[in-house]
Amino acid sequence: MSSALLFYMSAVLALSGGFIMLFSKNTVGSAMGLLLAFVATAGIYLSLSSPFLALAQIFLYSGAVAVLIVFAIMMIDEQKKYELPVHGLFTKSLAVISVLYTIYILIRIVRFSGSSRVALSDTSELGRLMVSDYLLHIEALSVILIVSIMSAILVAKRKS
Amino acid sequence: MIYQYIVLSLILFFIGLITVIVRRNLIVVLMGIEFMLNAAGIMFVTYSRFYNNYSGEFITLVIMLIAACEMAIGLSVVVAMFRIFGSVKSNDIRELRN
Amino acid sequence: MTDKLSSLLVIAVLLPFAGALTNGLLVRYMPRKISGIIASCTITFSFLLFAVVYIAAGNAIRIPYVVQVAPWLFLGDFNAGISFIADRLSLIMALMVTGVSALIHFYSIGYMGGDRGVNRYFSYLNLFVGFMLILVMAENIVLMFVGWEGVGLCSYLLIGFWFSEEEKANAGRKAFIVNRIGDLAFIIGIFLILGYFNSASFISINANSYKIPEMTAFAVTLLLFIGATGKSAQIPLYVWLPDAMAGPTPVSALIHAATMVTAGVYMITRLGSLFMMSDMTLAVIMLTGSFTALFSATIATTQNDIKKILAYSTISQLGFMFAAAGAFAFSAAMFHLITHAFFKAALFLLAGSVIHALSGEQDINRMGGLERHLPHTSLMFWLASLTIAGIPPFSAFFSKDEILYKVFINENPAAHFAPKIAYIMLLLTSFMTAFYIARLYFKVFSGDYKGEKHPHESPRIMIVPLYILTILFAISGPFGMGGGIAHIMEMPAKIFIKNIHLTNTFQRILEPSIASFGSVSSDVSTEILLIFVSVAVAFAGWFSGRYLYYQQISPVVESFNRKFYPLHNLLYKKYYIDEIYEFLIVRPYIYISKGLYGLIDRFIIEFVFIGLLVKIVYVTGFVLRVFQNGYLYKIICIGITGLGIILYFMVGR
Repeated sequence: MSSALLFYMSAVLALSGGFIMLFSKNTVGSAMGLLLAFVATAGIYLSLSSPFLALAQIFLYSGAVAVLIVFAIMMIDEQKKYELPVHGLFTKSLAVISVLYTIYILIRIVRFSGSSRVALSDTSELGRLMVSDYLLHIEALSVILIVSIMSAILVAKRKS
Repeated sequence: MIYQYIVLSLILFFIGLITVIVRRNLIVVLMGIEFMLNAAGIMFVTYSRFYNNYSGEFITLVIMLIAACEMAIGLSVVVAMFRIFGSVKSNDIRELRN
Repeated sequence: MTDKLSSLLVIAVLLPFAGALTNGLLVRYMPRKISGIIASCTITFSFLLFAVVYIAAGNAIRIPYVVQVAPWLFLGDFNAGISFIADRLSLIMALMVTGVSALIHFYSIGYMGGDRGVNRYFSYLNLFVGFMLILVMAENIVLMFVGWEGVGLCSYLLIGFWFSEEEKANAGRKAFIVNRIGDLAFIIGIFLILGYFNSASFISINANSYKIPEMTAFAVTLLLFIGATGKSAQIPLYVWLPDAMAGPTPVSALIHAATMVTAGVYMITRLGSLFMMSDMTLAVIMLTGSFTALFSATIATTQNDIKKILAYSTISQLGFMFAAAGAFAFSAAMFHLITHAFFKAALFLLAGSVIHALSGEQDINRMGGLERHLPHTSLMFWLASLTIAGIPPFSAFFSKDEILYKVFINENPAAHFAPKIAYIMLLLTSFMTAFYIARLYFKVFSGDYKGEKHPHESPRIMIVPLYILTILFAISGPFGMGGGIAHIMEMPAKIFIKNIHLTNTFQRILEPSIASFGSVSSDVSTEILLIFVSVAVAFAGWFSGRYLYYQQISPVVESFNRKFYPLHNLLYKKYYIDEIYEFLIVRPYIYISKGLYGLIDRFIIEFVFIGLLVKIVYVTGFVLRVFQNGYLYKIICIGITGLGIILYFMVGR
C-alpha cells in the first residue's frame, strides 16, 4: 500500500475521531474518538516514514494517555450514568474501529518497506541526537517527569 | 504532498481548539488540549521528514512526554476539583469570581 | 604589634557585641542574675585584653598600627575598610572606656537587680560599649561614624529605657533628634573630607592636612565641631543632656558622663592635625567650650534635682575639654577627659546610690543629713566633690590647672582676644564649679534629714566599684601634672633625691599619637602664679558654698534669692533655653510641617497623585473586568484573539 493511501486513510480516521471527540455527548465517547485520532496519527507518522515515532505515538498516547483519561472519567463519573466505558452501539463500534486500525498500523510498522518518496527516518540517528546534542533536554525532561508525578500525587491526594 | 499534511495538521488543531472552547466538561477540555498537541506533532514530523532534519522528530517526542505529564497533572487537578466542587463543568467552577 | 596582638585587639572589640547578642537573643530566657554577670564579665575581659595589648605592644604603638579586619566600602578608587587603629591615644581611650564600663556594669548588677527589664538593660549596655569601642578604635572616619551613630542609638534606647513613662520616652527622642542635627553637620564634614582627601583614613588625613586650603579647613573643621557639639552637649546643642537624666543612673554615669559625651573631644584629638589648619575653628571651639562651661555652671548652681546638677556639671566639664582642644592642648584635654570620666562616673554612681537609698527621691531639698545613714557614700561623695572643685591633690586639680594654663598661654592668630576671654570664663567656671558642688554636697549630706523614707546603705556590689573609682580619681592626678606643679613638687622632693626631674607622664605617653605645636616657651613663674590663682578660686568657691549651705536653710541665701529674684529665676529656669528653642524652632517647625502636610500630603499627594491613580486603576479595572469573567471559554477566546494579533504582526503582514 502506498504511503499516499495510508495518509488519506489515516487523515479521514483522524478527522472523524476529532469530530467524534468534539460532538459526543458522552464523555467516554469523546475519549474513544480521541483514541481513534491518536491511532490515526500514528498512521500519519508511518506515512511520513518514521516508524519509531508511530510506535511511540501508540505506546504513549493511545496506551498511556487515553487509558489515563478513561480512568479519570471512571473516577469522577458524575451522574453514575455510564457503568463501563463501552456502552451503546456507537461507542462500541468506535472502540472496535480503533482496535482494528491499531492492529493494522502495527502490522504496517512491522512490514515497513520504505517505499515512500521521503527517505526512511534513521532511528539510530535520532537516538544519537538524544544523547549528544539534546542531552540537556532529555535531562530536563526527566526532571519534569519526576516533578509532574510528584505534583500529581500531591494534588490528587485526599486531605486526611 | 507536504500541503496535505499541513492542512490536515491545521484542521486537527482547530478541531482541538474548538473542543477546548465549546465543551464545558473539563476532561473533554483536556482532551482538546491533547488533540492540539498531537496536531502540532504532526506538523513537526512533516517538516522534519520533508527537510530530513531530526530535530522535528525529537521535538515531537518531547511533546509526547510533556503531554503525558500535563495529562497526569491536569487530570489530578480535575479529580481534586471534583472532590471540592462536586462537578467538573467549567461553568460551575468560578469560585475566584465570587 | 604582632598578629596575635592584633587578633586579641579584634576580640576585645567584639566581646561586648557577643555579650549584647547573648543577652539580647536570650532576653526572655536568661535568669536575671546571670545576665548582669555575663555582661560584666565580657567587659572585664575586654578591658584585660586591651591592657594586655597595651603592655605587650610597648613601643610598637608609638606610631599608629593599623589592624585590617575586613574590607567594607569600595567606591571607585576610594575604600574604607573595617580596620582598627592601635596607638596610644586609642588604646588609652579604650582602656578608660572598658575600665569605667566594667565598674559601672558591676554597679548596675546591684542597682538594676530588681528591674523587670534587666536583661534588656545589660544587652543595651553591652551594645553601647561595643559601639563605643568601634568609635574609639576606628581607623577611618566612616567607621568612626558607624560607632558614633551606634552609641547615639544606644543612648536613645537607654534614656528611654523605662519607655512606659511618656516623659522618659520623650527625653530619649529629644536626645536622638538633637543629635541628628549635629550628625548632619558631621556627615557633611565627612563628605567634604572624603571629597578633598579621597581617603577616610585618619593617618592619611592627618598626614595630608597641610595641603588643605584655609577656607576648606575652616568649613570642614567647623562642621566636624558642630557634630561634636551634638554628641558632646555643647552650646547650642546641649539641651538633650539634662533631659537624658531620665535614664537609669548607671547609664547617666556611663554614657552621659564618662564615655559617649567625650566622643567629640576624642574625635577632635584624633583629627588634631586637621583642626590645626584652621585657627578660626580653634578660636570658635575654645570660646564655645569656655562659654558652655560658664553657662551651664551657672545653671547648676540653682537646680534642685541631684542628677540635673550633675548633668549641667558634665556639660560644664566638657566645655573645659573643648576649651583645651581649642587651645591646642590635646594632651590636657585627653587627661581631663580621663580624670573626668573617673570622678564624674563616681559622682553619678554615688548620686545613684543616694537615690537608691531613698527609693527614687531626686530632689536635694528633701535630702540632708545623709552623712549618718550612708557613711561610705558620703565619704566618697566628699572626695569626689573636692576633686571636681579642683582642690589639690586630687586629679581634677591637675587636669583643670593644666587646661587653664594652656588656655592662658595660647596665642591664636585668628582671634587674639579669644584665649584671654576664655581664661576668664574658665576661671569663673572653676569658682562656680566649686560652689555648686559644695552646695550639692552639703544640701545632701549635712544638716537634718528631711525626707520620710528610711535611707539604707547600698549593697557591696555597688560600693566596691565606687571605691575603685574613688582610688582612681584620687590618685590619678600626678600622672598628668603640668610644668608648674612639677616645679613646686620638685622643691621638697630634692631634699631626698638629688637630680629629680618630674614630667608630665601622660603627655609624654600620648605625645607620639597626637598633633602638637612643638613646645611653647613656658614661663614657670607665670604658671606657678596661675596655679595659686586657680587653687584660691577653688577654695573660695568651696568655702562660700559651705558657708551658705552648711546650715541647710541659710538666711543669706533666702534674702539673696528674694532680692535677685529675676536672676535666680532665670538660672533656675535654665535661661529659658528650652522655651526659646520651643518658640524659635519647634513651633515654627510644627507650623511648617502642618502647612506642608496640608499642601503636599493632603493636596498634591493624596488628592492629585493618589486620587488620579485611584481613578486610573478604577477605570482600567472597569475595562479589564470584562475579560476576567471566570468563564473558561471566554478567557480562551480572548487568548486566541491575542495570539491571532501577534501572528498577524509576525507573519501575516
